[in-house]
Amino acid sequence: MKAKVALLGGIVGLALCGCGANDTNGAIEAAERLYSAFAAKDGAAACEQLSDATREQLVKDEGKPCEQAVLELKLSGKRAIGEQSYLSDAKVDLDGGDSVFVEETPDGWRVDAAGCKPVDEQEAPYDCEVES
Amino acid sequence: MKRFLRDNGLSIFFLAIFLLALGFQSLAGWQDFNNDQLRHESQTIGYGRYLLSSEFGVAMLENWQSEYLQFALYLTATVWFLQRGSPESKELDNAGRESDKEQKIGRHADDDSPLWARVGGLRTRAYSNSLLIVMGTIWLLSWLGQSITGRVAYNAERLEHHQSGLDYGQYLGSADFWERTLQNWQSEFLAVGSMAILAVYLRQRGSPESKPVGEAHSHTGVTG
Repeated sequence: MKAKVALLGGIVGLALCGCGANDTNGAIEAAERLYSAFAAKDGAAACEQLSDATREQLVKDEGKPCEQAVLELKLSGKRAIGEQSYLSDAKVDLDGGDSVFVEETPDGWRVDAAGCKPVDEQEAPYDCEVES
Repeated sequence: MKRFLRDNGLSIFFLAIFLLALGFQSLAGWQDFNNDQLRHESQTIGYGRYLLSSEFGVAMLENWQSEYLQFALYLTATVWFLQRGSPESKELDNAGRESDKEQKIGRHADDDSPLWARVGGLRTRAYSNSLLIVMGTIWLLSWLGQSITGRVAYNAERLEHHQSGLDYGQYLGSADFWERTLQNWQSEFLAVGSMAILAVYLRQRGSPESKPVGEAHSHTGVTG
């Protein structure tokens, strides 16, 4: 009987313990640092918060250095008002209405997509100003 | 010790291969997860973190829930449903829960019958259904675990693709949850159904899951 209780407890415990409880502060900080740098017109600092793939895509799309292209984006927000985090991916919602998708990379949390707004179709990806 | 191993060989054998299979599954799953992370230029994770992750949790629990459902259903179905010629079936005139005398409960119990079979009342009722109760409970708990861990794993993938995550209610109605659930259910139902019918015509000498090799196809409820 005790073994059965232990087994049941183990099942429930295992189910609950892996619920994506990561260091979500890192994701929020990366999103807020990007938007702070953008507001301060510090392109270099803003680009540091982008993931490598996102940075490369921005340069490719705009045909300009990242430090210049990032300041021409339409970004709106300052502080995080909500976040969802699952395993190594997170979505941070900002007070200006933007959502930011952040991922955990070998260099820490980096922004994968910024200036994102939901579209009408629930299953469709967010429409983002910049993404990988 | 020798006697213990001999008397408990079946459960020891399956416990051992279960632990081996789970261990190797975790290693393969960890490698597969990290390969996907690298493809997405994301952070790879250590083995310990993977063991505690919802990726591993859902991979394990979606299989557990279907196995326990399989047994719970099989226990229930074999009370009422028959299969002519199958050793998995009761005899054709014996469908149903059977009499107290046949089941050795209450005053019909033997001296060495389990206590709760002898005492009567609620305890005997509970004990009479204890196998289904435990199997069914483990099924529900592991299915619950699958839904919780599956939502986390699915939402991680959705965020990777810049979609919003689903809340728990939305996930229960999602194609991902039901695809995971039903892909496991169909294989379990196929396996027990196959066993019930194949055992009518085929034999495995020495196994109690089979009829004796020379037993007629038409004989029902006979084991080797």
